[in-house]
Amino acid sequence: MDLLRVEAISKNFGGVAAISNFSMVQPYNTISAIIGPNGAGKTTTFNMISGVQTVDTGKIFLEDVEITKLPSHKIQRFGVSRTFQNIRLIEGLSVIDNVKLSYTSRLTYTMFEEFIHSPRVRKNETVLEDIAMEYLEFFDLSKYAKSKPKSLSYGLQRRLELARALMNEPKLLLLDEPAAGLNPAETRELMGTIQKIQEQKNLSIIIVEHHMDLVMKICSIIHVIDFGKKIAEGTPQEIIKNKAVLQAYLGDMGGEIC
Amino acid sequence: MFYFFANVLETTLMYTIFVLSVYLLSGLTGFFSLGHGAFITIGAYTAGLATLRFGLPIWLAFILAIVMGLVGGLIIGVPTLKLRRDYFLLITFGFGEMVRALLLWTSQLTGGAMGMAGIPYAAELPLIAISVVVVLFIIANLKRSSFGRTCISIRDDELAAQAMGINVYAHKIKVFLLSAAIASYGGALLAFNMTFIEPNLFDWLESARLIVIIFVGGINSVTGALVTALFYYSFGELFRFANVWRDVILAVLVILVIIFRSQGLFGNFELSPKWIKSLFNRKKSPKRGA
Amino acid sequence: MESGVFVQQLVNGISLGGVYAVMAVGFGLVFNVLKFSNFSHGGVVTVSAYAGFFISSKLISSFPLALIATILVGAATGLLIERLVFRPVRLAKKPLTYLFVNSITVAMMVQQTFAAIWGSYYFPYPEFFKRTAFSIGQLVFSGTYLLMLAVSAVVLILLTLFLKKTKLGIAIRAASSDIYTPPLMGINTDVITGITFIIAGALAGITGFFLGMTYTVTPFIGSSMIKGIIAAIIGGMGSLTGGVIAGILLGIVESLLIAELGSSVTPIIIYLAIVILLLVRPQGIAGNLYTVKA
Repeated sequence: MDLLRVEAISKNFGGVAAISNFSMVQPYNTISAIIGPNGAGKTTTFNMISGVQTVDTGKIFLEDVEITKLPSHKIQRFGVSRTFQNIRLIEGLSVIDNVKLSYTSRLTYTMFEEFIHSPRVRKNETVLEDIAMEYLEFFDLSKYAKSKPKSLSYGLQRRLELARALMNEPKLLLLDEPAAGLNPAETRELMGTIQKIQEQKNLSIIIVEHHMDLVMKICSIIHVIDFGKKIAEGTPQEIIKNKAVLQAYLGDMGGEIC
Repeated sequence: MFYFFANVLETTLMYTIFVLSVYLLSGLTGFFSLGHGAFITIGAYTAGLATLRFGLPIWLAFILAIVMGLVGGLIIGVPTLKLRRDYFLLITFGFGEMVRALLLWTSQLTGGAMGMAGIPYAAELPLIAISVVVVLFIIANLKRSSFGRTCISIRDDELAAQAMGINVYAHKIKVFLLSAAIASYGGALLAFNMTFIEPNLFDWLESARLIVIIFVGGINSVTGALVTALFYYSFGELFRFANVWRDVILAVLVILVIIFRSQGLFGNFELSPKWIKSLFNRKKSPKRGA
Repeated sequence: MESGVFVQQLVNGISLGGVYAVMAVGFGLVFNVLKFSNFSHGGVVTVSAYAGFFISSKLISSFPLALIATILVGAATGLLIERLVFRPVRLAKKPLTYLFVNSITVAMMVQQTFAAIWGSYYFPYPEFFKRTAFSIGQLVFSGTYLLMLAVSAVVLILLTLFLKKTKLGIAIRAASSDIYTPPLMGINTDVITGITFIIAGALAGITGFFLGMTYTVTPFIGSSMIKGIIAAIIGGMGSLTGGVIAGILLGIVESLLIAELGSSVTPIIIYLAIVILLLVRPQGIAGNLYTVKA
């Protein structure tokens, strides 16, 4: 059984086909990537898989269970976490509270217990704080636990988004342009972090990226999209040699491929 | 003299309950309802009708007021909370006006524009004071637990909240219903305290005031909402002649706060046992740390 | 309802609808360009209503001149509010909710200030015309109402021409889709917002003048804004034409309902209808449904 199976999904926006007939399979414990020129439809694909946008045609299966029509909060509870292209952190919450957010659906206390801050609430909160702190430590963010996201640098904010996504203990992690805005040193660090996460947490990761460097070095499968259609799929070595891929990229970023 | 101050305190505290109910909805969750007065009015009229026309005991009247508030909240909330914030704002505005118009029209039952008088005086200072403390307790507890964090996440970024596993729609309904219930309970208190109610009890302007007070205090601070409400309403009661000017001052204050200190006067400050203890620590060792 | 009354009420309704349409456009214009619900519009209406009263009773007794003077007052007030209250918030890049909160604050401030100074007075506009009613056959029409309709129609036509044919107007329309387009056209965003508020203020000026003329001037006159807002929503946020159509429809429906069912039931029915309409078709008559980009 594959972790994720996407079967011929399509999405139209007022007559424009953002994605047509996209299919892919994501095995367990794999790091793969979806690449393509700007506007090719990569984020839309992510949005459909994570339930943020509806699927017009096609089906999506998570561990053989169909999730096509499910809203994003239900999909998250199945074990799919994602990060966003333009970091979406909650400004009004502290760093550590941001991390705690993705664990919300697993908390066992009821609203009424929250009214009186019952012992069970207190215990849950302590446990939650400890777990969240662990994740912050993993990403070297623990000293910022009580600050607000706004006070963190861009690179640290990206790490925070990752920490938040991981607290859900996902089986599948979707990273939307995780290297955007990072300098080469930070990008290398990110690559190491992604690999470490994959090994330690035994999860599967799909990355949407422009940074070919990152993608080539850590991914085992690459899917290429152009104008909403899949034009190639294969290992990094195969993709570099693929004519269709080179053609799609020539206008955009020919220099970055090798 | 005592009665005068007791009255001031009673009114101040009751309106503080309304502010707190709006804090939950607007400050914490970012939803604005210019028709929140509708719930207060529903609560007040339910309480009045229950005791005057149906002769029910006071405690039952309170419960019915809350129930009616919840019903109203369901009717308006379930369909509307799916829509954009702007629409919610405008629909609740419409709802508020509709309730007012409804009350004016059903004058046989409700006394119409003449209002309803002779409601038993059953809400005295102790009951009101305890009510405020309970409401404050509940809201403060909600804020510091998962419920509050969820509210804030919905306020700041609904899409992200949903992607983090939060059922945004369900939570909004919970918040709205809770806020409506508190407001209608407060409305019942109002009825039993003032013994006379009329449809213009809480128009959109009063609802707007509640929102404005919260922004002065700061949306991230319950303490801010509480203190600002206490100051504003007690000032209004003590200096009734300057009533309208009080609003002008408030208006100018809000605009200044929003432009220059948008986190509100209280920012992120919350009065808590920890903070009070730290005051004592500071006093003991004034030269701690550098 | 007999046909005579029906026709009269219909005509009255269309005239009233014209006023609502002007209100809707004033509200909708700011919403389109700046993307927030501007409740201070009601405040400008109130200021204009009072200004119109003072101007027409003390300074200028000619209808057209008094109206124009009031329009200028409205436009100036709108601009003043934008510069003092909204611009600082925009410049500080605060979220839209703060603009909204400031707008209701302004509305509150205007109402309370006028209530503080002239709360206990009722100001009736002077009679501009000697004959205010004329009859066609058995039907009696109010000249004032028809005049309001005529002026509203002219103003809306002028506005349409401005938005479609002038560079500034096109820039404003561009700004509705994307606030960053006007600079690409060589027009500063500040100028765009300023002009938007001037136009909205001018429209509020007309509204204030007409409302003051039709009813009496009280500090609460700005609350009639709700009708304009309702029309804007029914018409569909994002479409000024929709707002005009909705405004006229609202005026007609209201007039007919009041004549048939009385003025106490009518508001209930109207609000109920609006709530239901919004639930069934949130985009209104001609508006767009906005989605959030991930």
